[in-house]
Amino acid sequence: MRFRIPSIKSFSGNIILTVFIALALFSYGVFLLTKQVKTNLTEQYTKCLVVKTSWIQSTIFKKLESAILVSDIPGENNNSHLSNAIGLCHFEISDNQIQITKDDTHFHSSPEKLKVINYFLNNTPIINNRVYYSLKEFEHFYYFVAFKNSKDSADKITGTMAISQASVDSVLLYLIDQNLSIIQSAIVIPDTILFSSGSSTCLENEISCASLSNKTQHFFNCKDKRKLFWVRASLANEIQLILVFKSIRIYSNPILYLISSFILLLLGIVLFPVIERRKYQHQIGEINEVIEHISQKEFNNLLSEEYPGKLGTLTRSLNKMSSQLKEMYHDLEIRVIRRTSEISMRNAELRKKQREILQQNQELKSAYEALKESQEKYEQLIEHLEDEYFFYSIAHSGILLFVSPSVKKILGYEVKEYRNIHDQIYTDNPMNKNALECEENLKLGIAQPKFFKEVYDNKRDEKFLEVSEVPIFNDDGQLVSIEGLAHDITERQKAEELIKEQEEKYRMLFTHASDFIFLYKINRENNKVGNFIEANRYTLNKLGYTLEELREMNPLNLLSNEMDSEEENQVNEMAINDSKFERIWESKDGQPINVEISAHALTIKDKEVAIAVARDITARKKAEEEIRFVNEELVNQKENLESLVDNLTETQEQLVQSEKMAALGQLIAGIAHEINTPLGAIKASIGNMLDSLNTALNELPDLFQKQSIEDLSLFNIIFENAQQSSKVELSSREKRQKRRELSSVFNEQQIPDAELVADALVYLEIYDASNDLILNLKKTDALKVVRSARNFISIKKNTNTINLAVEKATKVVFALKKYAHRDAMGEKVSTDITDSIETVLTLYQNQLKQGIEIVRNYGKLPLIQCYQDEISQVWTNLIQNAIQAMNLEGILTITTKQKGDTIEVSFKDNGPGVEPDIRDKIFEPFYTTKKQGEGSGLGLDIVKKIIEKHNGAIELESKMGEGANFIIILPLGIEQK
Amino acid sequence: MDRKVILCIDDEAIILESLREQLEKYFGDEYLYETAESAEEAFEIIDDLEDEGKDMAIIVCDWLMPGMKGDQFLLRIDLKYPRVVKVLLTGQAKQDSVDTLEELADQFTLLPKPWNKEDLINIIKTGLKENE
Repeated sequence: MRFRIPSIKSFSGNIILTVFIALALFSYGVFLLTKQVKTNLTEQYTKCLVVKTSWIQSTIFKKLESAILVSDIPGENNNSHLSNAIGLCHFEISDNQIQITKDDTHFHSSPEKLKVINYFLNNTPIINNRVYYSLKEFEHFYYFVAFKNSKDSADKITGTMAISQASVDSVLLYLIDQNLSIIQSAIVIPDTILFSSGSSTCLENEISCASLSNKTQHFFNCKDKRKLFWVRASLANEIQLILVFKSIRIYSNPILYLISSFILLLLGIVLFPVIERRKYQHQIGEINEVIEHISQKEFNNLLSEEYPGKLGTLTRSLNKMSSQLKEMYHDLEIRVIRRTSEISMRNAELRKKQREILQQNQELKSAYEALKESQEKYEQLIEHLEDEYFFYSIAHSGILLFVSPSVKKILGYEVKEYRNIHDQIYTDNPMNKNALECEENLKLGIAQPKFFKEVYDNKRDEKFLEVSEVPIFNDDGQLVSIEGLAHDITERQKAEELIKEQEEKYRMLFTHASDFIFLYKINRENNKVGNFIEANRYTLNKLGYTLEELREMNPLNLLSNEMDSEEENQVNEMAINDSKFERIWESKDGQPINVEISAHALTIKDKEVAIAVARDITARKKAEEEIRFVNEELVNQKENLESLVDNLTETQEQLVQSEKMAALGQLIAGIAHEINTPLGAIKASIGNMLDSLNTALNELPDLFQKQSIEDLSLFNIIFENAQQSSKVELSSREKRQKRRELSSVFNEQQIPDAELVADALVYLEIYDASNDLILNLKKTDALKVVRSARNFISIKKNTNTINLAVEKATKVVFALKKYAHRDAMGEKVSTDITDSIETVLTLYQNQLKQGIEIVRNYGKLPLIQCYQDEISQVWTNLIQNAIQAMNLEGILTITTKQKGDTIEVSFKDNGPGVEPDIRDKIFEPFYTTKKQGEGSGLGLDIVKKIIEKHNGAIELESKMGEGANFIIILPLGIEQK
Repeated sequence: MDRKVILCIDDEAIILESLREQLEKYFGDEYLYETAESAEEAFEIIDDLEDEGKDMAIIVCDWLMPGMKGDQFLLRIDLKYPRVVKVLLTGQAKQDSVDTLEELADQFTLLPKPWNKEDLINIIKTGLKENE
């Protein structure tokens, strides 16, 4: 431990004082600062000198004390303006009262403003016809006031006042000349200048208080005795500027105070402690030494007694103390040793005792635990018992002497409560009658077995009790009390009732089910079904056996059919295990019953049995049979229908064929005619030829004999002409014309029998009468000659006719052959469409001749793969229809053309046309517009089918009254592309 | 010349020519012979003949012709010239038109094609005899 250098606290007195002073100085300094006392006059001054006469710039100005100046009226006639203006008002003073007469609404009016105005009005001296500026303070603000008033005759003074709030930086400026006359004055508020105009009288009172000189600084007093000073500066034009400032007192300088306060603080905190410290340092050093000695416990090195004064005293006493202490220490040591040995002996004894106690503890602990266990058991037992048992004691009189508290648990009654009501809580259960009887008997001393009671508990629920009561006798044989034990068997009772209920249910089920339910024995060892054990009523009824009879049988006996051993095994297997199967039983009276059996094996009291439920499915089986039968019938019907459909299809094909034949039949007449005509011609021609030959033969001798040259030359001409067989055949009309011409020529030429000759010549195909001819004719017996020649020519001509006729006939036959030709193979053949159309037209020639004109517009068509036969039929049907539509008179236009990869063939008639609503119908099979029997109606249907077979299309255009145009489009086929 | 005219009408040239020759061979110069290929032409010829003052004796006509059919034509002829021997020579004819003709017309006979020369001649002869 050491003494520390005294802290600041020890010099507290001095320090506090110093600090206090410092603070005081500091605060004053701050105060002055806030008063914004500014420094550096000279600086200001120099700045102000910069100002010029023309306008004044504000820099830092001092706050003005009031100065009064006299000048002219401001405001209205120069460009001064008041910012921070409070007001410009007109007032009048009468009876020493100032009243504002006019308040200039330029400025904002407010209560404060009015206050200010009133104040100034009341506190400003009245100087007639003067304007002066004043800087006044009112309620901590400075205001510039410009004031002018005048007195009128009636002693009423009126005036104008302008008040403006001065900011702290505003100042009054004067421009004065040498004579101290003010040229101009101004109030400078920052950014604002209030000017007065022109000349004015000199500063009165105040300025004359001071004597202006050329000194730069001057002090003069003002009304309020605070010091102002002004600076006079010379500027150009001999105009001098006076700036009035507030003075600065050195001792108002806040900085001074601030600094001094700091210094003092410093002194106080730093310097004083240091000085003091020095003083005590030596003394403290010595003390420290002493302490060190003491701390090292070196009592032997006693402290020197050299220390002066108080310190020496201290050390001496310390020394004494230390020697005393040493002695004491020794004593103590001895004592301690003694004590210690005593204590250790004691300790040993105590330890021994402790061990014994521990042992005892253990024994006690285990005994305790055993006790605890049995106690728990007992408690549990009692609890358990308490839940179920309560015992009681009833006196002979019937009063309850005692009841165990567990009655509360069982019946819910408090002990006291139970005492009162113990014989009043019986329910209506008839069993209670017996209970009461027993109790009576007990009262008589007769022992009773256990009996039952049903009572209400405190919640009015029924509780069922098994009661055991015993009469207690005293030594004299008198009944003292009846001891009773009641066991709550409500739950048991309920359970028993439930079981009974369920049993009842199952019994009902078993008895009344309308299925076979039965039990039978099974023997697993040899996989055999045993006899019936039980069967329900339904089984007995349905089967016709009694239960006794059944008990002699096993279920297999019921089966209606015989089984071989294997089957029997199977059935046994099923009947023994869980299975479901169908069988046919026979009832006692031989009725077959189809059943579906569901068997289930189980063990009841070590006996293996099976329970089976079988359902009579006779009805179901029957239904199944019926369904099967119906199904078969349906299948048959279906087959029938199918064959019917086949038939119909065949029939339809036959119809198509017959249609074709019918069409053909129609043509036959025409065709026959077409053949007859050539035949007729042939016949006639042959006849003619024979005649001609005969005649020629007869005339031959004559011919050989007398032939003149002229005759011969005539013959020559005739025969020459005849050789040229490529002449155009003239029509009969033309021939007649020629005959007439020749006849008239011959008549002119006076040739005899001119007409007959002409006629003959025309026959000989000589149509022009050349001169040569005429000459010859004249010279000869013309008629005879020409007629002779005619015989020969006749043969030629008739032969020609025969040829033509044969050609015609052939054509027709060929066409017919082509038409009727059947494509036996049904293959597509390369066909010329134009040719096929022509073939059909040939066949229809006869019909067409009757008044139908054929217009052919055939384009160039390539060969096309098609079923030739069927295509012919298409043309046939369409041409037939057209002919019929036009009623054998009209124009049929047939157009063929190739369009891209199709061929288009159109048949246009000018019949009545096809009505719009039947345009699709006409392609339907069996649809016809003809009368019954006149057409099968299959024509267009066949056409459509054939076209579709060729992957083509058929279109119909028709305008009513103008005819119908059937357009067939056939694809060329891939090879043709 | 009081020769009367035999008029043959058929649209088939081969028939017309051979028919005319046939008749001419038989009847020779007894008659004049005219041919027409249609009923219209026949009418023209008949008009000409009238102009020329010639009479018709026999008309042999086909039924199936373009324009007016043979039966109609013969009916017309019958109206104007009932005494002309009319033979309808045809491969086919509608039955009802034939019946009409038979009913109404005098001197009318139907002769189917192909015909026998003899039959034709006989019919004509018979017809002519009737006229006498």
